[in-house]
Amino acid sequence: MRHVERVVSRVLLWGGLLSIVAMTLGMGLYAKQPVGGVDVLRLRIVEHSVEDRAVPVFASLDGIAQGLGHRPVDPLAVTALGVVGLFLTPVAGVFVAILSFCSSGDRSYTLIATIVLAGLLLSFALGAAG
Amino acid sequence: MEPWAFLLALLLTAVVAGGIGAILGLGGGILLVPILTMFYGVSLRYAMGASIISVIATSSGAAAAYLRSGLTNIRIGLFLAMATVGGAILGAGLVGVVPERVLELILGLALAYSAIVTLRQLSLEIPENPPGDALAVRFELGGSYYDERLEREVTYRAVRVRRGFVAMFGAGLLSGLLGIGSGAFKVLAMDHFMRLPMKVSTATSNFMIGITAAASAAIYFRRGDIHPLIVTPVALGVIMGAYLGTRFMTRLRNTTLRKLFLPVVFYLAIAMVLRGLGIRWP
Repeated sequence: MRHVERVVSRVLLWGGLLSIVAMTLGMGLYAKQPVGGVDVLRLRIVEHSVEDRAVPVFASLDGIAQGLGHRPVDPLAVTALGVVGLFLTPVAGVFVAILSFCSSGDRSYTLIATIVLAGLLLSFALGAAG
Repeated sequence: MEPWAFLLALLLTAVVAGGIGAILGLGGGILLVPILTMFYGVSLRYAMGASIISVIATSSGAAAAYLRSGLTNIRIGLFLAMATVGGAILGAGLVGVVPERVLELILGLALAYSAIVTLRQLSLEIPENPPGDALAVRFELGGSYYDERLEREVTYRAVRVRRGFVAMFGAGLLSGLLGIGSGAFKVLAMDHFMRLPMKVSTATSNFMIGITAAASAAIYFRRGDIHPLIVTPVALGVIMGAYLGTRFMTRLRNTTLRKLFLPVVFYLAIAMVLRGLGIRWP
Protein backbone atom coordinates (compact mmCIF):
# COMPACT_ATOMS: atom_id res chain seq x y z
CA MET A 1 0.00 0.00 0.00
CA ARG A 2 1.33 3.41 -0.99
CA HIS A 3 1.62 6.36 1.40
CA VAL A 4 -1.39 8.21 0.00
CA GLU A 5 -3.73 5.20 0.39
CA ARG A 6 -2.47 4.64 3.92
CA VAL A 7 -3.01 8.22 5.15
CA VAL A 8 -6.38 8.67 3.42
CA SER A 9 -7.54 5.31 4.80
CA ARG A 10 -6.55 6.38 8.33
CA VAL A 11 -8.32 9.74 8.05
CA LEU A 12 -11.52 8.12 6.76
CA LEU A 13 -11.44 5.41 9.43
CA TRP A 14 -10.70 7.68 12.39
CA GLY A 15 -12.87 10.55 11.14
CA GLY A 16 -15.79 8.16 10.71
CA LEU A 17 -15.21 6.45 14.06
CA LEU A 18 -14.82 9.65 16.12
CA SER A 19 -17.89 11.16 14.48
CA ILE A 20 -19.96 8.07 15.21
CA VAL A 21 -18.69 8.00 18.82
CA ALA A 22 -19.77 11.66 19.26
CA MET A 23 -23.18 10.94 17.73
CA THR A 24 -23.72 7.88 19.93
CA LEU A 25 -22.47 9.68 23.06
CA GLY A 26 -24.87 12.57 22.43
CA MET A 27 -27.75 10.20 21.97
CA GLY A 28 -26.87 8.30 25.14
CA LEU A 29 -26.73 11.54 27.15
CA TYR A 30 -30.05 12.61 25.65
CA ALA A 31 -31.69 9.34 26.67
CA LYS A 32 -30.45 9.84 30.26
CA GLN A 33 -32.22 13.18 30.55
CA PRO A 34 -35.03 13.15 33.14
CA VAL A 35 -37.58 14.36 30.57
CA GLY A 36 -37.36 11.07 28.67
CA GLY A 37 -36.48 12.28 25.20
CA VAL A 38 -37.42 9.14 23.31
CA ASP A 39 -41.12 9.81 23.88
CA VAL A 40 -40.59 13.11 22.14
CA LEU A 41 -38.82 11.27 19.32
CA ARG A 42 -41.95 9.26 18.61
CA LEU A 43 -43.96 12.46 18.34
CA ARG A 44 -41.38 14.05 16.08
CA ILE A 45 -41.35 11.22 13.60
CA VAL A 46 -45.08 11.18 13.16
CA GLU A 47 -45.69 14.90 13.26
CA HIS A 48 -42.89 16.54 11.36
CA SER A 49 -43.12 20.29 11.03
CA VAL A 50 -40.43 22.94 11.08
CA GLU A 51 -42.38 25.30 13.35
CA ASP A 52 -43.11 22.71 16.02
CA ARG A 53 -39.74 21.19 16.74
CA ALA A 54 -39.88 19.30 20.01
CA VAL A 55 -36.33 18.08 19.38
CA PRO A 56 -33.80 20.74 18.35
CA VAL A 57 -32.42 20.15 14.88
CA PHE A 58 -29.12 21.97 14.55
CA ALA A 59 -28.59 23.73 11.24
CA SER A 60 -25.54 25.91 11.90
CA LEU A 61 -22.13 25.71 13.52
CA ASP A 62 -23.07 28.65 15.77
CA GLY A 63 -26.04 26.70 17.08
CA ILE A 64 -23.84 23.69 17.84
CA ALA A 65 -21.24 25.91 19.58
CA GLN A 66 -23.99 27.44 21.74
CA GLY A 67 -25.31 23.99 22.63
CA LEU A 68 -21.82 22.79 23.57
CA GLY A 69 -21.17 25.94 25.62
CA HIS A 70 -24.40 25.57 27.53
CA ARG A 71 -24.25 24.04 31.07
CA PRO A 72 -25.25 21.29 31.24
CA VAL A 73 -24.09 20.57 27.69
CA ASP A 74 -26.93 20.06 25.22
CA PRO A 75 -26.50 16.36 24.32
CA LEU A 76 -27.98 16.80 20.86
CA ALA A 77 -25.32 19.44 20.14
CA VAL A 78 -22.77 16.65 20.73
CA THR A 79 -24.67 14.48 18.23
CA ALA A 80 -24.80 17.36 15.73
CA LEU A 81 -21.03 17.85 16.17
CA GLY A 82 -20.60 14.20 15.18
CA VAL A 83 -22.77 14.76 12.09
CA VAL A 84 -20.62 17.71 11.02
CA GLY A 85 -17.49 15.63 11.69
CA LEU A 86 -18.88 12.90 9.47
CA PHE A 87 -19.50 15.08 6.44
CA LEU A 88 -16.14 16.81 6.89
CA THR A 89 -14.35 13.42 6.94
CA PRO A 90 -14.22 12.94 3.11
CA VAL A 91 -13.09 16.57 2.81
CA ALA A 92 -10.26 15.85 5.26
CA GLY A 93 -9.46 12.73 3.21
CA VAL A 94 -9.05 14.80 0.04
CA PHE A 95 -6.97 17.35 1.97
CA VAL A 96 -4.46 14.77 3.24
CA ALA A 97 -4.34 13.27 -0.26
CA ILE A 98 -3.21 16.71 -1.54
CA LEU A 99 -0.47 16.84 1.12
CA SER A 100 0.63 13.30 0.31
CA PHE A 101 0.75 13.85 -3.46
CA CYS A 102 2.54 17.17 -2.91
CA SER A 103 5.19 15.62 -0.65
CA SER A 104 5.84 12.86 -3.18
CA GLY A 105 6.26 15.45 -5.97
CA ASP A 106 3.21 14.26 -7.94
CA ARG A 107 2.12 17.61 -9.39
CA SER A 108 -0.67 16.23 -11.59
CA TYR A 109 -2.53 14.62 -8.71
CA THR A 110 -1.79 17.50 -6.33
CA LEU A 111 -3.63 19.68 -8.84
CA ILE A 112 -6.45 17.15 -9.42
CA ALA A 113 -7.09 16.68 -5.68
CA THR A 114 -6.96 20.48 -5.18
CA ILE A 115 -9.63 20.92 -7.89
CA VAL A 116 -11.83 18.35 -6.08
CA LEU A 117 -11.30 20.12 -2.74
CA ALA A 118 -12.07 23.51 -4.30
CA GLY A 119 -15.28 22.06 -5.75
CA LEU A 120 -16.28 20.75 -2.33
CA LEU A 121 -15.56 24.07 -0.63
CA LEU A 122 -17.54 25.87 -3.34
CA SER A 123 -20.52 23.58 -2.74
CA PHE A 124 -20.28 24.26 1.02
CA ALA A 125 -20.23 28.01 0.33
CA LEU A 126 -23.26 27.68 -1.96
CA GLY A 127 -25.03 25.61 0.71
CA ALA A 128 -24.30 28.24 3.37
CA ALA A 129 -25.60 30.95 1.07
CA GLY A 130 -28.85 28.99 0.81
CA MET B 1 -43.65 -0.03 18.76
CA GLU B 2 -41.77 1.19 21.85
CA PRO B 3 -39.31 4.04 21.18
CA TRP B 4 -36.22 1.98 22.00
CA ALA B 5 -37.50 -0.96 19.95
CA PHE B 6 -38.03 1.51 17.13
CA LEU B 7 -34.44 2.75 17.39
CA LEU B 8 -33.13 -0.83 17.53
CA ALA B 9 -35.16 -1.72 14.43
CA LEU B 10 -33.70 1.32 12.65
CA LEU B 11 -30.21 0.20 13.65
CA LEU B 12 -30.68 -3.37 12.37
CA THR B 13 -32.27 -2.17 9.12
CA ALA B 14 -29.31 0.14 8.61
CA VAL B 15 -26.86 -2.76 9.19
CA VAL B 16 -28.46 -4.67 6.29
CA ALA B 17 -28.64 -1.58 4.03
CA GLY B 18 -25.04 -0.67 4.85
CA GLY B 19 -23.82 -4.19 4.07
CA ILE B 20 -25.57 -4.27 0.70
CA GLY B 21 -24.42 -0.72 -0.05
CA ALA B 22 -20.78 -1.55 0.64
CA ILE B 23 -20.85 -4.77 -1.40
CA LEU B 24 -22.48 -3.11 -4.42
CA GLY B 25 -20.87 0.34 -4.11
CA LEU B 26 -24.26 2.03 -3.84
CA GLY B 27 -23.96 3.66 -0.42
CA GLY B 28 -27.17 2.16 0.91
CA GLY B 29 -29.21 5.37 0.62
CA ILE B 30 -31.13 3.95 -2.29
CA LEU B 31 -32.60 1.33 0.05
CA LEU B 32 -32.85 3.46 3.18
CA VAL B 33 -35.07 6.31 1.97
CA PRO B 34 -38.01 4.10 0.86
CA ILE B 35 -37.65 1.83 3.92
CA LEU B 36 -37.56 4.72 6.41
CA THR B 37 -40.54 6.47 4.84
CA MET B 38 -42.72 3.48 3.97
CA PHE B 39 -42.08 1.12 6.90
CA TYR B 40 -41.06 3.46 9.72
CA GLY B 41 -43.19 6.53 8.96
CA VAL B 42 -40.21 8.90 8.98
CA SER B 43 -40.85 12.10 7.03
CA LEU B 44 -39.17 12.23 3.62
CA ARG B 45 -36.95 15.17 4.57
CA TYR B 46 -35.54 13.41 7.63
CA ALA B 47 -35.23 10.14 5.72
CA MET B 48 -33.20 11.87 3.01
CA GLY B 49 -31.10 13.66 5.64
CA ALA B 50 -30.37 10.37 7.42
CA SER B 51 -29.68 8.71 4.07
CA ILE B 52 -27.13 11.27 2.90
CA ILE B 53 -25.25 11.05 6.23
CA SER B 54 -25.42 7.25 6.11
CA VAL B 55 -23.93 7.36 2.60
CA ILE B 56 -20.91 9.20 4.03
CA ALA B 57 -20.74 6.76 6.96
CA THR B 58 -20.79 3.79 4.57
CA SER B 59 -18.23 5.42 2.34
CA SER B 60 -15.86 6.26 5.21
CA GLY B 61 -16.07 2.77 6.70
CA ALA B 62 -15.94 0.87 3.42
CA ALA B 63 -13.43 3.12 1.65
CA ALA B 64 -10.99 2.90 4.59
CA ALA B 65 -11.11 -0.92 4.37
CA TYR B 66 -10.98 -1.04 0.56
CA LEU B 67 -8.05 1.42 0.46
CA ARG B 68 -6.09 -0.87 2.77
CA SER B 69 -6.98 -3.92 0.66
CA GLY B 70 -5.77 -2.16 -2.51
CA LEU B 71 -9.15 -2.42 -4.26
CA THR B 72 -9.88 1.33 -4.24
CA ASN B 73 -7.92 3.19 -6.88
CA ILE B 74 -7.51 6.63 -5.31
CA ARG B 75 -6.14 8.16 -8.53
CA ILE B 76 -9.11 7.01 -10.59
CA GLY B 77 -11.43 8.11 -7.77
CA LEU B 78 -10.01 11.63 -7.54
CA PHE B 79 -9.70 12.02 -11.33
CA LEU B 80 -13.38 11.14 -11.78
CA ALA B 81 -14.43 13.09 -8.67
CA MET B 82 -13.54 16.27 -10.59
CA ALA B 83 -16.42 15.37 -12.91
CA THR B 84 -18.91 14.28 -10.23
CA VAL B 85 -18.31 17.28 -7.96
CA GLY B 86 -18.55 19.66 -10.94
CA GLY B 87 -21.74 17.94 -12.06
CA ALA B 88 -23.18 18.02 -8.53
CA ILE B 89 -22.59 21.78 -8.22
CA LEU B 90 -24.24 22.41 -11.60
CA GLY B 91 -27.08 20.02 -10.69
CA ALA B 92 -27.73 21.77 -7.36
CA GLY B 93 -27.80 25.08 -9.21
CA LEU B 94 -30.32 23.75 -11.75
CA VAL B 95 -32.81 22.54 -9.12
CA GLY B 96 -36.16 23.99 -10.09
CA VAL B 97 -35.06 24.86 -13.65
CA VAL B 98 -35.17 21.41 -15.26
CA PRO B 99 -38.42 19.49 -14.60
CA GLU B 100 -37.68 16.64 -12.22
CA ARG B 101 -39.82 14.23 -14.27
CA VAL B 102 -37.74 14.78 -17.39
CA LEU B 103 -34.60 13.99 -15.42
CA GLU B 104 -36.09 10.89 -13.87
CA LEU B 105 -37.11 9.64 -17.31
CA ILE B 106 -33.63 10.25 -18.73
CA LEU B 107 -32.05 8.60 -15.68
CA GLY B 108 -34.35 5.58 -16.02
CA LEU B 109 -33.65 5.11 -19.73
CA ALA B 110 -29.90 5.51 -19.23
CA LEU B 111 -29.95 2.95 -16.39
CA ALA B 112 -32.00 0.52 -18.52
CA TYR B 113 -29.52 0.83 -21.40
CA SER B 114 -26.57 0.28 -19.06
CA ALA B 115 -28.28 -2.71 -17.44
CA ILE B 116 -28.86 -4.36 -20.84
CA VAL B 117 -25.22 -3.83 -21.81
CA THR B 118 -24.07 -5.20 -18.43
CA LEU B 119 -26.31 -8.23 -18.95
CA ARG B 120 -24.27 -9.10 -22.05
CA GLN B 121 -21.07 -9.00 -20.01
CA LEU B 122 -22.50 -11.00 -17.15
CA SER B 123 -20.06 -13.88 -17.42
CA LEU B 124 -16.98 -11.68 -17.90
CA GLU B 125 -14.83 -12.06 -14.77
CA ILE B 126 -11.96 -9.73 -15.69
CA PRO B 127 -11.86 -7.52 -18.86
CA GLU B 128 -9.37 -9.12 -21.29
CA ASN B 129 -6.24 -6.97 -21.45
CA PRO B 130 -7.98 -3.87 -22.81
CA PRO B 131 -5.51 -1.40 -24.34
CA GLY B 132 -5.26 1.68 -22.10
CA ASP B 133 -6.01 5.00 -23.80
CA ALA B 134 -3.75 8.06 -23.84
CA LEU B 135 -5.46 9.73 -20.87
CA ALA B 136 -5.22 6.54 -18.82
CA VAL B 137 -1.48 6.40 -19.50
CA ARG B 138 -0.96 10.13 -18.86
CA PHE B 139 -2.83 10.07 -15.53
CA GLU B 140 -1.82 6.54 -14.47
CA LEU B 141 -5.42 5.32 -14.35
CA GLY B 142 -4.61 1.70 -13.66
CA GLY B 143 -3.26 -0.58 -11.00
CA SER B 144 -3.39 -4.07 -9.59
CA TYR B 145 -4.88 -5.95 -6.67
CA TYR B 146 -4.72 -9.44 -5.25
CA ASP B 147 -8.01 -11.23 -5.93
CA GLU B 148 -8.73 -13.59 -3.01
CA ARG B 149 -11.39 -15.47 -4.97
CA LEU B 150 -9.21 -16.01 -8.07
CA GLU B 151 -6.07 -16.38 -5.94
CA ARG B 152 -3.96 -14.24 -8.26
CA GLU B 153 -2.81 -10.68 -8.86
CA VAL B 154 -5.12 -8.82 -11.27
CA THR B 155 -3.65 -5.96 -13.31
CA TYR B 156 -5.95 -3.45 -15.02
CA ARG B 157 -5.91 -0.14 -16.89
CA ALA B 158 -8.84 2.14 -17.72
CA VAL B 159 -10.06 2.60 -21.31
CA ARG B 160 -12.48 5.14 -22.84
CA VAL B 161 -11.61 7.64 -20.12
CA ARG B 162 -13.42 10.55 -21.83
CA ARG B 163 -16.69 8.62 -21.94
CA GLY B 164 -16.26 7.58 -18.32
CA PHE B 165 -15.57 11.20 -17.35
CA VAL B 166 -18.72 12.44 -19.15
CA ALA B 167 -20.80 9.66 -17.55
CA MET B 168 -19.43 10.68 -14.14
CA PHE B 169 -20.34 14.32 -14.81
CA GLY B 170 -23.86 13.07 -15.58
CA ALA B 171 -23.86 11.04 -12.34
CA GLY B 172 -22.84 14.14 -10.38
CA LEU B 173 -25.47 16.25 -12.17
CA LEU B 174 -28.22 13.81 -11.20
CA SER B 175 -26.81 13.58 -7.69
CA GLY B 176 -27.10 17.35 -7.26
CA LEU B 177 -30.51 17.56 -8.92
CA LEU B 178 -32.20 14.58 -7.30
CA GLY B 179 -30.32 14.36 -3.98
CA ILE B 180 -29.14 10.81 -4.63
CA GLY B 181 -25.68 9.28 -4.24
CA SER B 182 -25.86 7.90 -7.82
CA GLY B 183 -23.52 5.07 -6.86
CA ALA B 184 -25.17 2.81 -9.45
CA PHE B 185 -24.12 5.21 -12.23
CA LYS B 186 -20.60 5.50 -10.88
CA VAL B 187 -20.16 1.72 -10.81
CA LEU B 188 -21.63 1.39 -14.30
CA ALA B 189 -19.42 4.14 -15.71
CA MET B 190 -16.29 2.42 -14.40
CA ASP B 191 -17.38 -1.14 -15.14
CA HIS B 192 -19.05 -0.57 -18.51
CA PHE B 193 -17.30 2.43 -20.10
CA MET B 194 -13.86 2.23 -18.52
CA ARG B 195 -13.77 -1.59 -18.36
CA LEU B 196 -12.39 -1.73 -14.84
CA PRO B 197 -12.83 -4.92 -12.79
CA MET B 198 -16.16 -4.89 -10.94
CA LYS B 199 -14.48 -5.04 -7.54
CA VAL B 200 -12.31 -2.01 -8.34
CA SER B 201 -15.42 -0.20 -9.65
CA THR B 202 -17.49 -0.83 -6.52
CA ALA B 203 -14.61 -0.06 -4.13
CA THR B 204 -13.68 3.16 -5.96
CA SER B 205 -17.38 4.10 -6.14
CA ASN B 206 -17.57 3.76 -2.34
CA PHE B 207 -14.69 6.23 -1.99
CA MET B 208 -16.24 8.67 -4.49
CA ILE B 209 -19.80 8.70 -3.17
CA GLY B 210 -18.53 9.95 0.19
CA ILE B 211 -16.96 12.95 -1.55
CA THR B 212 -20.07 13.66 -3.64
CA ALA B 213 -22.42 13.16 -0.68
CA ALA B 214 -20.35 15.51 1.53
CA ALA B 215 -21.18 18.34 -0.87
CA SER B 216 -24.92 17.60 -0.62
CA ALA B 217 -24.84 16.90 3.15
CA ALA B 218 -23.83 20.48 3.95
CA ILE B 219 -26.96 21.69 2.15
CA TYR B 220 -29.20 19.21 4.01
CA PHE B 221 -27.60 20.26 7.29
CA ARG B 222 -28.24 23.95 6.63
CA ARG B 223 -31.87 23.17 5.78
CA GLY B 224 -32.31 21.43 9.17
CA ASP B 225 -33.13 18.07 7.56
CA ILE B 226 -30.70 16.03 9.67
CA HIS B 227 -32.59 14.81 12.74
CA PRO B 228 -30.03 13.80 15.39
CA LEU B 229 -32.08 10.95 16.87
CA ILE B 230 -32.87 9.35 13.51
CA VAL B 231 -29.48 9.81 11.89
CA THR B 232 -27.51 8.28 14.79
CA PRO B 233 -28.86 4.70 14.76
CA VAL B 234 -28.95 4.78 10.95
CA ALA B 235 -25.32 5.95 10.60
CA LEU B 236 -24.14 3.55 13.30
CA GLY B 237 -25.94 0.68 11.57
CA VAL B 238 -24.57 1.38 8.10
CA ILE B 239 -21.01 1.61 9.43
CA MET B 240 -21.42 -1.81 11.04
CA GLY B 241 -23.02 -3.16 7.87
CA ALA B 242 -20.30 -1.65 5.67
CA TYR B 243 -17.60 -3.30 7.80
CA LEU B 244 -19.25 -6.70 7.41
CA GLY B 245 -19.97 -6.09 3.72
CA THR B 246 -16.37 -5.24 2.82
CA ARG B 247 -15.11 -8.44 4.46
CA PHE B 248 -17.64 -10.44 2.47
CA MET B 249 -17.10 -8.70 -0.89
CA THR B 250 -13.41 -9.56 -1.30
CA ARG B 251 -14.36 -13.25 -1.31
CA LEU B 252 -16.94 -12.90 -4.10
CA ARG B 253 -16.34 -13.31 -7.83
CA ASN B 254 -16.71 -10.24 -10.08
CA THR B 255 -19.42 -12.09 -12.01
CA THR B 256 -21.34 -12.80 -8.77
CA LEU B 257 -21.15 -9.10 -7.91
CA ARG B 258 -22.62 -8.23 -11.32
CA LYS B 259 -25.44 -10.71 -10.80
CA LEU B 260 -26.24 -9.08 -7.44
CA PHE B 261 -25.92 -5.58 -8.85
CA LEU B 262 -28.00 -6.07 -11.99
CA PRO B 263 -31.46 -6.60 -10.38
CA VAL B 264 -30.92 -3.40 -8.36
CA VAL B 265 -30.17 -1.48 -11.56
CA PHE B 266 -33.19 -2.97 -13.37
CA TYR B 267 -35.42 -2.12 -10.41
CA LEU B 268 -34.12 1.45 -10.35
CA ALA B 269 -34.51 1.81 -14.12
CA ILE B 270 -38.16 0.70 -14.02
CA ALA B 271 -38.93 2.84 -10.95
CA MET B 272 -37.30 5.91 -12.53
CA VAL B 273 -39.03 5.54 -15.90
CA LEU B 274 -42.42 5.12 -14.18
CA ARG B 275 -41.80 8.15 -11.95
CA GLY B 276 -40.77 10.10 -15.05
CA LEU B 277 -44.10 9.15 -16.61
CA GLY B 278 -45.90 10.35 -13.51
CA ILE B 279 -46.57 6.90 -12.01
CA ARG B 280 -45.40 6.66 -8.40
CA TRP B 281 -43.86 3.23 -7.90
CA PRO B 282 -43.30 1.98 -5.32
